[in-house]
Amino acid sequence: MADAAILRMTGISKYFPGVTALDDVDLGLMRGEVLGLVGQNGAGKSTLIKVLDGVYQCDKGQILLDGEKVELKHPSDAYRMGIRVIHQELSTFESLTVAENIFAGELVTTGALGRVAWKRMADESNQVLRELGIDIDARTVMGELNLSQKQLVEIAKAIRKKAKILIMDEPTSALGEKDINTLFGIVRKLASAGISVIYISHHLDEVFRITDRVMVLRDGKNVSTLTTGDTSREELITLMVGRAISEMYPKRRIEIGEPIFELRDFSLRGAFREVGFTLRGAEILGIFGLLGCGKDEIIESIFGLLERDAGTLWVSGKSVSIKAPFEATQNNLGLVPVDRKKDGFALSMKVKENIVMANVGGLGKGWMIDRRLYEDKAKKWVAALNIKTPSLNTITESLSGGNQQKVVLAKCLESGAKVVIMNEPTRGIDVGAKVEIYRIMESICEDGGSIIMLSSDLPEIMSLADRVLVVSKGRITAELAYGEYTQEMLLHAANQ
Amino acid sequence: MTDPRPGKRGVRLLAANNTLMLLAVAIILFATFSLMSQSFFSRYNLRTFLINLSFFVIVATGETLVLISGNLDFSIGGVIALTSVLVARLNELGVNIYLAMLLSLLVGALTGVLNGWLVVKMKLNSIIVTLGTSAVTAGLALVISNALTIAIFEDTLGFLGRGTIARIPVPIVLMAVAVTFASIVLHRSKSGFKIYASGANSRAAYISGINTDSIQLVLYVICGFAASLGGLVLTALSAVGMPRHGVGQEIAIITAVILGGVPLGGGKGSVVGTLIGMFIMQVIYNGLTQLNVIPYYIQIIQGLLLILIVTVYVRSERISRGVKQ
Repeated sequence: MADAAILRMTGISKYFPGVTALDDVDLGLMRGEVLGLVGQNGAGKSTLIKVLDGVYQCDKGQILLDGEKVELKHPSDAYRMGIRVIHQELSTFESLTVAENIFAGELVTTGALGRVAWKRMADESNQVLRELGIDIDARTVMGELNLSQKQLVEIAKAIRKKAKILIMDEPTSALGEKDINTLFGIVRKLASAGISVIYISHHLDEVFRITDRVMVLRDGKNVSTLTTGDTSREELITLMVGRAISEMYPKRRIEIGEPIFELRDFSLRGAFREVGFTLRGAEILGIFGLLGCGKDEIIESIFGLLERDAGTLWVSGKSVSIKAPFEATQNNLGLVPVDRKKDGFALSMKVKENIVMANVGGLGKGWMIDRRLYEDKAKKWVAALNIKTPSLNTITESLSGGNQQKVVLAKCLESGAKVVIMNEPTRGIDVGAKVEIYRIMESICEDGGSIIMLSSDLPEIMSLADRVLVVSKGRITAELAYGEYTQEMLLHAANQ
Repeated sequence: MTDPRPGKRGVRLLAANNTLMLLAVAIILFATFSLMSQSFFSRYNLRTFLINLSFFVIVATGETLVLISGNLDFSIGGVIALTSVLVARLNELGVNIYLAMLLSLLVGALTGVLNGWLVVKMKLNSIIVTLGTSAVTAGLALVISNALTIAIFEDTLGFLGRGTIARIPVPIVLMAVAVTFASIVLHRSKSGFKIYASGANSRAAYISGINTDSIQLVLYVICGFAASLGGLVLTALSAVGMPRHGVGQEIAIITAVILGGVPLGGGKGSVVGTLIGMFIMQVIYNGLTQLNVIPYYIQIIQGLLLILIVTVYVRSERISRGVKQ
């Protein structure tokens, strides 16, 4: 067996002051294998990868590469030994060409004067791209490429020279379905060429599609390593969370109320046409659609962030005009934006400040702020939503993704929102926090509020939404009631 | 969460109190100059020093609000010049002095409306816009005055510079009112909260229902008004309307605001910080002048001090956030 393994990490432990990040972890990687690495945030995935990449040195344990013990003291050591990492956030040079990006840091020069061999670099880049089946010309300026093309260029750059192990950290977080297929095609090609891939993802369906085996980490410890074909989604989640999946989605026992919100004939040229729907009290209405179908534009125009061409909006039976977000909040609408850090909250502000941001008017009578009322409100939401923060004065940026999202939710609820629009409410947060967000959604409905939820996570939208509207090319192509449709029907309507 | 770096707690305490650090620097500088120069600590010099400081702080208060909300205003120098020339010229033409003062104050407010409209509604870059209106107002000041100094010996306006209330010079009273009022608004009022939120993340604030557009526009108007008020004080002090009043001083004022702890980009800082920042700049200027240092060197020293303090800020910010590098 030892000869088949290109990499063996045994008994790896890593301690930070007060925290054991990795505790006696083993990892074996075969030649030409795609190994999935899953676990909640804080399970130790990134620490393990940083040990392998030479960013951190492990306190205990050893690393065998091709059967030989190696010391990785610096990322350059790892690079020299053929270990490549593609990080979640791309590190491309936008104003340089694809070829320059692929050769970044290793310009090819000729002659005594060290002239740069532009042509040779372009030719070699084109060859690598062709081998991978990527249809991009090496002379294109990086900034002109879309996100998925940039990612493919990063892969080309990573494997150009003597790569043995390729580590991909959440590579699909910004990709649409079609791009994911292209990416997976390339990953398979690399694997069959003998390159081993470690694939880190929160998306379990992807893990099932692309990996041969999957390794689960929990609280810095090995839980299990399974052959992908022999396991199930439920088993993986149970292993990751340490509890059964049946507990993951809240039980449905909320009585749907009267219509409280209605959209009629919404149109915006180039984005969507004649969109209309009704939302009832205590209802969770799902909106599903592929990237670019127009669903984001629909909710932005509801909230006054985009100006629509036609259509009326009715709240509690009355026609309302919403031209800016402050008019939306006045009509008891709330928005949990898809890009949390850019649109959801202010990174540099305190937890309490972000919590009250959408209800500054409610911080006291007149134009002064009542300090005690302010603190009480913040305290109430930190307790109600179980926001894990050292104090109310903590800078929000330092919280984990799940707790940041809870702050955004607290902000919406504090503003008195009765209709909460959530765009990808659990994107980029770990399974444990997801469950908590689902419980909060449930309690919003119990308190008489309603939710419009946009999600690309199929199991999530299928188990939570009372109804799902499918949007394709700017039109509603299907309305599906809970439990009366299959995943295939949903995808079919989305591709219409 | 436990503190992973217990040894640095002291450093972080200081880092959390940039204003205290700045105050310490101000006191040390003041004490040093008082010991080194008899004339610095004289009653006459201190009075002049405080009155000069008042003019700068009145104008800097408006600039502080604009910077906290995430914008910049370079037009204050031009506004001071135009206000000064206009009030003197109107007085020369025999216009009622109250009306002349009112019209001159409108210069700043209207420039603020224009700045705010271009930045907020037309979505133009605030540096470019206000550099433009700065050139326009400074140019208009030259046109109106024919590039000449206009004398204005007038007691109603003169009161703003030379008068006293309860034996305190009027400029100092105006400064105290401006700083107190702005501090209360910033730290105690709902509007203040919205100003900080607009600067920290204007898009998130906007989505949260805060009308960031009108806040930023109103602050430009307040900033312009404060600059005009400063222009009247300066004219009253010097008894002349002069097209070179204020020109170039926007740099000194913005420098003091940043020195006082408002980051470019906004979201943080205070008017008290600005007051201390301005105080430090003026102590150095006045103190070194009393020590007969050539003014060219004074400029160099002020510049170096700015770089030093901002370096300390940035480092302490990284320490308190736990960011390396």
